[in-house]
Amino acid sequence: MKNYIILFLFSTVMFSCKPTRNLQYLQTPSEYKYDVLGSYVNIKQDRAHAVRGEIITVTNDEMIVLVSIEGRSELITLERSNLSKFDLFICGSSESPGGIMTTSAVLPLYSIGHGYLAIYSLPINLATGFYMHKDVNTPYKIKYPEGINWANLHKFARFPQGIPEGVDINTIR
Amino acid sequence: MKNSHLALALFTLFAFGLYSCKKYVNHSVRKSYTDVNKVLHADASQNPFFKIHFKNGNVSTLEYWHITSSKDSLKGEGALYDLNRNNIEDGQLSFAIEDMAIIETNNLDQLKSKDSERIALLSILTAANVILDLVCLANPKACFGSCPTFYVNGDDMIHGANAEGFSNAISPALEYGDIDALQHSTSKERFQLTMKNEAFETHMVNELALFAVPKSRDENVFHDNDGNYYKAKEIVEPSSASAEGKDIRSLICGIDETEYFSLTDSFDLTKKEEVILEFENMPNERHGIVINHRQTLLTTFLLYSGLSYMGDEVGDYFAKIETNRYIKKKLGSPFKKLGGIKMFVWDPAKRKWKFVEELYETGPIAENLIISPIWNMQPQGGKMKIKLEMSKGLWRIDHIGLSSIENPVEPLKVHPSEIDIVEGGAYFPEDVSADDEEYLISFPGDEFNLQFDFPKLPYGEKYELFLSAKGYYLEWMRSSWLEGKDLPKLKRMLMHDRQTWRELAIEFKSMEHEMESVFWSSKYPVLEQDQQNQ
Repeated sequence: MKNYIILFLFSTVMFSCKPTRNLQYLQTPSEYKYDVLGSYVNIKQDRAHAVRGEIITVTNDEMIVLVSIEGRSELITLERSNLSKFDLFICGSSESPGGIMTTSAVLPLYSIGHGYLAIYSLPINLATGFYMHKDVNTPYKIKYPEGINWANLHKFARFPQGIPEGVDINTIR
Repeated sequence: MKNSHLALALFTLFAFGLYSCKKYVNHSVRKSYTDVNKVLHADASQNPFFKIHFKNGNVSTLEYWHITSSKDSLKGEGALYDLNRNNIEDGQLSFAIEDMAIIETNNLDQLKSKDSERIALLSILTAANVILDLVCLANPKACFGSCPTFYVNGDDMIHGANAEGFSNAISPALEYGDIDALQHSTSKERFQLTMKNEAFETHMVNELALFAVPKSRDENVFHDNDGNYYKAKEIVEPSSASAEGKDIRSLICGIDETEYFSLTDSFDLTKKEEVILEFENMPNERHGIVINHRQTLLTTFLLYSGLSYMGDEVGDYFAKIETNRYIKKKLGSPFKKLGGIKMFVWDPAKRKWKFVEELYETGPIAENLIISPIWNMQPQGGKMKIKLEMSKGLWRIDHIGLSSIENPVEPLKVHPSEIDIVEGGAYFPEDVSADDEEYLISFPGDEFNLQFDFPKLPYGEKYELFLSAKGYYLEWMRSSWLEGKDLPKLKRMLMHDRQTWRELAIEFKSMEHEMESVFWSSKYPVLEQDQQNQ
């Protein structure tokens, strides 16, 4: 029983978490066409470090990414030769992630009324809730280099045409 | 959480994992065109929506666009953003084609929302959960179990319980002890019995003991309603058995868990039925009726109905049980009204039925194997005829037979020598070794392994085991019960008001079949015999 309570509390806390930062940034599928920002990119440099931010522009040799460091926006230039693989986040896979996550979080509560049959219903409800929480937070992505080559990356930048002439790059936020 | 339950959760996750593909798409979700004129002069209906990147870094989303008659600009409805993507203009917009750098379109077919699949899955699971909740709400005992349950094999589920303790003791004043045959024998000197709390109840266990009777392999040992133990010969099965004109012999022969039971009368819960059994080729010896039985969920329904009618005054009523004998007596009256299993033997000389005994043991979980000695009659011409009279739909009968009683025996009473706590508070054998002020208190989910040590037996002998459990339990009130408060109805129920009992009969009838099938379906597939009974 103690283990069930721990598992139940753990899942309730877990399911009540807000959507990840990625999803907050990303549009829903139907809103994607109105997205005027560059795609979100997640580049793992090593186990401890990663660059996560918006692609501003992509040239033949480098990619400029707008990241947020301690609340400040900062542009980081990444050399193409240093980028072997990464994920581009396109958009969310749900129109109403909040509603689905709430429904998923409520599932285990039903088991309270199932008595000893909860030994069957609780694992299924917890597993389904966990899966739903994960699934609804999984966005559509493009994997580099499998799903896109370097030449096409510019399409997913804020400025696919390159940094406009006369624009001071440091004014970009 | 047991490994099997963790395995079920992991299996479900794994099953979902098989269907959950990573949501990778390819770069064709977005198309961009630097040859602006070519795109603009194509059929507008192919691309009613555009995103236009301007040479100065601005961007516009544009719908319902068209090229102006001068062919040098574009008009449409949309929004314009600056290079930091602040919205600077909305509505009808017009742009010079020469200011455009890139036109972008999207292939949204790859980016469909998966919500409909998710909602379908959640709807199915929610519906299943709600149905199970409703079933449990209507039939609490089917889901919440009852009383302390005892298992020879601790891994068994509730339907495999070997015994259940003091099912009728729902308050301190109603504390009592009962004896259940475990229907298990052992030749070992150390024996383990598992006690579980599988209900929403607090169990107060005062005393636990095993009564052990040494016996040879061929002997049977039974106990009777008065706490006497008898060695007896092999059980003789009836040559015929009928209830309401139907042949039920195949159901009540053999201790095999195929049971005879009937359904209640639609309007009268006390309506009786008769089971007639005939035995042939019986030796002219003293016999006892050996019966293996348990209750249906009818008494559970009445108990829960009564608690529900008490509503938020349940505490007051239970306090009164402790101090007021009249209330205590009245609260037990619904069960008395239903009655037990009355047994009769046919006296061919006087051509009438002679009363043998009335058996009553509350509880729908563990079967009770008991013998009723027939002191006032012996077989006549090798034949004996037995009649059982009981309320319809109240009892499940697994077996009825006759056994020749050899001699009474004195059992060995053994208290636990150790208590291994699987889940629950720290208790010691002394807490349950005597009928005193010390109690083992067990909460929902608690589990204890009780170790018993027996003297060594001569080779070839075994101990036949009987559990003696004394205590009481307290039901946990559920919020849904508070809504059913109806003190006048409770009073009418306890006063045996005919109309109220008729209403109870109709209410029980509406859920009887579902209750029974839910409770037992996890143990049996649908039995052919059960179908015959319905």
